[in-house]
Amino acid sequence: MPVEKFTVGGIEKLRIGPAKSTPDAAVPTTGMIDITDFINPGSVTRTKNRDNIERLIADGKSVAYVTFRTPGDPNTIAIALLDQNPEVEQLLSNIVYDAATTTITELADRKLANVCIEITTAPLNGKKCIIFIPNVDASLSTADPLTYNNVEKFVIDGEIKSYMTTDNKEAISIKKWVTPAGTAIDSTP
Amino acid sequence: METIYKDAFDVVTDVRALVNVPAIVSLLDGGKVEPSVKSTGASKRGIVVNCNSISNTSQQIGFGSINCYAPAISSTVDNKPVQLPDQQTLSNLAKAVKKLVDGVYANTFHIWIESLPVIMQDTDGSYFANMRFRYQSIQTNFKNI
Repeated sequence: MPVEKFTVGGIEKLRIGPAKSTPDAAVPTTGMIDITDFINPGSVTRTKNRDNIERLIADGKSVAYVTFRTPGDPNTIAIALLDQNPEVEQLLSNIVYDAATTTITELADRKLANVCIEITTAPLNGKKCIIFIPNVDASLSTADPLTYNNVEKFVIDGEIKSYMTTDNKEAISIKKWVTPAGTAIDSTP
Repeated sequence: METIYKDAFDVVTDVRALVNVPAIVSLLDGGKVEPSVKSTGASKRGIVVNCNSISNTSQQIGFGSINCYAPAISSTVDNKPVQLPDQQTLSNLAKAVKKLVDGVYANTFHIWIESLPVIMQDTDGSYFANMRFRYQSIQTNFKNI
């Protein structure tokens, strides 16, 4: 029998929305903005950092007598957008948007937005992965110059925070593999 | 929303529309501004717009040429007949065309001249001024990310 594959790559859909006051594992039913069409290809990066190890090594030895773990940097997610959609900007930064005149006033006080992010990967080997990150502190910045042969990008930099699961465990994200049609997969051997 | 992307046919249509205006056609002595190939013979002026490539990316980048043809001038050098390019007509045509397509921001695309006109010779012996353009368009609803 072929080895079961759990491959993750490509983006079928990416949605972003306000984090719930009590983040949990369920994707909010309202307020999610589909930003798939705005993504700068190749820009969505999830960074999983590790903790550092401090070693106490006894004199004349090479192997640690005791090790301590010190927390490393938090996990992050970065997304660059080719489009400066006002709805997305409103979610992530402190602006006043007047749709009637399509005018955005950027307020002086910067904002750290608390959002949730749902990424559905492209199906690979008959499986796609739905990654849900319920609690992300995100900030919005820009990248690249205004020039005739390129566009200015929006860059969303998120720091992943934790949430409580229904059985009271502190968690950070969920990866769920489903069939291309979205049906759950039973991987029980 | 309907997916909007540009292929080589659209690029040629868009660019030809910029060039196929009375101010240019009047310089062609009855010749035409044509897509992709020149249908008339070497004795006829004409402009051909073609597209060599267009990328399937969210920011589409395309390349193509605008070729301005003018009949060669027959001359005799050292008692031998030679066909020489009509420098003045080619230059006038190329300069008139360049003005219309360089740095144009249209609704669905943006175009500029990447390489200014140079004289080249076609397989039938006729001469043309070749200028290469770069074409960019934003593809909506791009899915391969």
